[in-house]
Amino acid sequence: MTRIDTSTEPSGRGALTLPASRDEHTGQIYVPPRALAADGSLRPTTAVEVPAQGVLYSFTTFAGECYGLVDLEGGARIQVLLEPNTTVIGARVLALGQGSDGQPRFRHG
Amino acid sequence: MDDVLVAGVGMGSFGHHGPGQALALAREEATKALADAHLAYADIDAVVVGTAHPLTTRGIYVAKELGLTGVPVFHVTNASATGLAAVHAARQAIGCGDARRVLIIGVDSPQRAVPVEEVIVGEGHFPPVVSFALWARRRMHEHGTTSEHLAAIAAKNWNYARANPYAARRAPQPVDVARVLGSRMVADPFTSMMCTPWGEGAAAAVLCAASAWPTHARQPRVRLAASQCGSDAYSADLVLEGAIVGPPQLTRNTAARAYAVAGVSPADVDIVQVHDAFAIEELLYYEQLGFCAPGEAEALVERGAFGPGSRSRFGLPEFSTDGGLIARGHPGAPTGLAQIHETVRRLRAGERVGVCHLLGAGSVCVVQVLTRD
Repeated sequence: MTRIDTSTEPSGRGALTLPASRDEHTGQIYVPPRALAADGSLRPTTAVEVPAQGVLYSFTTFAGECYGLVDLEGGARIQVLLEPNTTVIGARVLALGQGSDGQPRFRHG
Repeated sequence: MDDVLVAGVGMGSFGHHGPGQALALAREEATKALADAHLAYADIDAVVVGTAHPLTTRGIYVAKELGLTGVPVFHVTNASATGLAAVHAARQAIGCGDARRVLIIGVDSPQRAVPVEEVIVGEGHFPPVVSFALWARRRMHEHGTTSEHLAAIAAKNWNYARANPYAARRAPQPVDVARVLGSRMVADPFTSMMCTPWGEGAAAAVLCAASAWPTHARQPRVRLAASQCGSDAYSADLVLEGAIVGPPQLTRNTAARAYAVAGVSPADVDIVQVHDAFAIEELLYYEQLGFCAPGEAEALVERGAFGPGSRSRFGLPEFSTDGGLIARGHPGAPTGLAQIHETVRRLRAGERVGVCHLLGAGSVCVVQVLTRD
């Protein structure tokens, strides 16, 4: 599960931030962070943080939990937990805080 | 390279055999495969044992159940694709000349009753049903796929399993769409009858070089015409974290290479066995394996394609003819050997070309083409 860094200051738009890495040669963002570029070149990446916000790609529910896939504004697709009723594919979502179990969840906003 | 033939197959019932049964299950089904090949274990040059569950007994102990003959024993594991990966390894051993006859065993029965879903979630991944439900929901959004489409595929596979004595799920009466839709909701849009059952089991096969075909074997020769493997290639929309989600191009690319090596095209294929752990997968594989254009699968499902009579009615192969993972079951490693077992059965009965496809968590993909000589 992607770990959301709640210890840093939120981004300017109010969302939490996610630990990520960037390939400085291509600009590609990796979430979760990769130590090396994915193209097999062995190029090291740079640690960065990206806002926990983007567009809902898909969703489902299982055993009382809401799950989703989000296309981040930074250009990566990640698996996430969702707040209930976060079900509009193509709409903006963001993670503002943690749920009652301490896990961050994305919601429409 | 000498042709690689399937000399023998054997399998037992998939279902709840309980933990700690790997040695007994493997011994029984390997013995069947050797008998089918008219061989003794002493005639085998190498053994490949596939297990997917981390707590199933290691391969060397499985092989020694059959005899202590000093042959090389290899242990292969590649999650759900383990069985076909083991077949691939056996083929490579024959192809390079290291072996002439290889026994392949797929077995899973962990020493302790730890569910495989618990293993996957314990690694930090979503439960498998969630990963594929996300596929389904996205497909519904993009192409208007309905729960009825998924239920029709699941019902087809349940009904194929009714004639399979080894299937984990054998319904006493024909299964229809309404019954599938009325089963317990698991992860929207999947009901329980659209999802594979887990369990334990074993299946085995004997591969041989054509020059080592068993003297007393009289069954029609089935050739392993191609075996291709692949893993995820990076793209910006690839989910980097997750146990299951293989991108569409993984199946497309692996299958294309297998067809090319085998010298066949999708139009030549009579039967297909795929990784249908959840009904949405089979629908997507109709397209990704080249049997229809993107977006056309739903209309074909509505017309009854890919089930009994599909070849004569539509010019398209039958899929999951033994019930698939949904109804035949999915103990893990034995699944690929069950696909081989079913394909050999149908080719020996007169069909010409069969395809076997599996994905493995992470992701990996194996596609094999079998042809009747």
